[in-house]
Amino acid sequence: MVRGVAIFKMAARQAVLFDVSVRDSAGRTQIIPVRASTSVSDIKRSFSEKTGVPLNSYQLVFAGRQLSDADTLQALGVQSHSTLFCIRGGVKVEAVPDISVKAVEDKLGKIATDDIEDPPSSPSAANNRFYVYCKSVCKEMKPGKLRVRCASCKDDRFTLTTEPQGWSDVLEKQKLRGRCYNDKCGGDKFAEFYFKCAGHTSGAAGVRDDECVALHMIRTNTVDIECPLCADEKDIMVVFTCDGKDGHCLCLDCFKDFARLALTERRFIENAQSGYSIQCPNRCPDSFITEIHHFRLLGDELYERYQRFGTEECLLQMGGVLCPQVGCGMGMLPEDPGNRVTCPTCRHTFCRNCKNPYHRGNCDAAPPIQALAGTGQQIDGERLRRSRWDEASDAFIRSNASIKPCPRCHVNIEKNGGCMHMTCSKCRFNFCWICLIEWGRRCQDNHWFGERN
Amino acid sequence: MGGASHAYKEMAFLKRLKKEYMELKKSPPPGVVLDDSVLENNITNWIIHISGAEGTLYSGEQFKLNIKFNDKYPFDSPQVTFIKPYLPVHPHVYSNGHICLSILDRDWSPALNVSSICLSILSMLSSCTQKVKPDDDSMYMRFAPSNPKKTTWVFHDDSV
Repeated sequence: MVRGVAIFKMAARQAVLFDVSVRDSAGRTQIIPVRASTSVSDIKRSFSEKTGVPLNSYQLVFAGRQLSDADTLQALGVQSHSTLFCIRGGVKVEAVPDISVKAVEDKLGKIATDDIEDPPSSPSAANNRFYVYCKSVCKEMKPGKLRVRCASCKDDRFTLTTEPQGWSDVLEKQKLRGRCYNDKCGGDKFAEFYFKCAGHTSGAAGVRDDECVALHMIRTNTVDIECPLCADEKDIMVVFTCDGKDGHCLCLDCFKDFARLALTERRFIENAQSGYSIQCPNRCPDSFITEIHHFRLLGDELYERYQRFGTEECLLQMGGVLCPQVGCGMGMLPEDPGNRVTCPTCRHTFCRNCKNPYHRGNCDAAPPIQALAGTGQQIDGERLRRSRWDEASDAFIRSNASIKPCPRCHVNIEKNGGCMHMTCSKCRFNFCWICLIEWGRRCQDNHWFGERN
Repeated sequence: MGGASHAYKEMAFLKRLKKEYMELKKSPPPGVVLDDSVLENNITNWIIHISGAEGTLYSGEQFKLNIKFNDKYPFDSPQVTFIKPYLPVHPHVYSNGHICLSILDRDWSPALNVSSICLSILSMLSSCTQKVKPDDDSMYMRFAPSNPKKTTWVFHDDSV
């Protein structure tokens, strides 16, 4: 009884009509209504009827593979609004191996392990999808589609000669080769892989330029790995690349918590290879996340913060400064080596060293912000309001014993407990809260926990 | 939404603790014994007995560790102290039981667990060459906060 229902459902799914496009070498497109069970020879017949192109004068190409007449769309993984490409030639080129993009997609969606055999393909094997971040339409993580084209002329009329074995084959440029069928390009060329979102159909929404970024760390948990953080077996895992291969992993929820905490505590590290990033939870030396779109998964607000922190960190490493004006924070790389810096955005002029309004001479002797009110000068309201705010905030900072500037980078630091050994949250300088000098043995012996001793 | 997500996290935290508890009961590292008489009342407060490894300065000695977890575990490190008077004389162990060990503070990672903490402490004991108290023990004893996580530790020497 139950089995009967299942068969009925499968038959119903196969019977659903959808559209695929067939594009010829001149760029003309025919839309052909098909079912999942439709074969390649059926499509060719319809295409020839519509266009008059002789049936035995061309072959069809889809996602890097030359199609055989007997292939069905379901077996090929062709979905609604997919495009098949025409190439000239009456017989199938035998030298071209049958590479199934569906099998490659499955491979990319799995966690590669040395010690566990691939489980036999189960009914759920069809769900071993890899994921992309869909920026243009869905604005979230979605299952992805893998496509391939010629790296030279970008034409999709291209077949692969080697099957990709994993992410490095797909992501690294100029790795695998194939055959290009564009008359003007043609022949043995490098393959270029690209990704699309399986969550929306490009044709339907009128969206053309909707290539996606592959989230290559996101995999389907095919090997029943337990998340080491929450001790749960989850369907979707985030796999770090450690020592050049699939390494330590977390479930998606724990990854978000892990990255969110590291970001808000400013523990991301700026480095030349991967930019502003984090390592795997075991801190393997070469495990930094290199595809920053994975941080999109933290949500818009945190991703915006990630980008801001990353830019700031990069700028500071290059010797730049951030405008200290409230509500500005503009980053700049002043060419003038002097201490007088003027922000190009808000025109605020400040001392590069102590970040107070610009002053002559020693920073310790910098005069406090002058009150402008009552001087009889004509000033605009916004400036007056801002200066009052600054004055109040400055007075608050100066009067509050729990706020002091970092002795090295001068960022204001609030101390809300703990011992006298401080670490600057911005520049990581270790200093003594009392002496405002680098932390050392003398401070630890004399006043680690206060001035009482 | 926020409430549901908080409840989910609390469940994940308890689930991980229970899992660690089961594993530590089933296959504890050598020299580590979990005292579960305390645990029945409160799963966030553990007592662990550790024995100094043979062939080291602490061979034949028994120590007691107290591990307290907050609900940010494993993203936040647990609070780990020796229980008086079952504490070793060691250059990184203060007389109030506080331990100066980098993985309990700035080198903490959520990938670590109770088992790896115990192993690190055992290895810290095993590699010790001289049974002495920390240099600054008397000062620390007078002013230290009750929670060692409120101390910013200076990790002078990783070899002892």
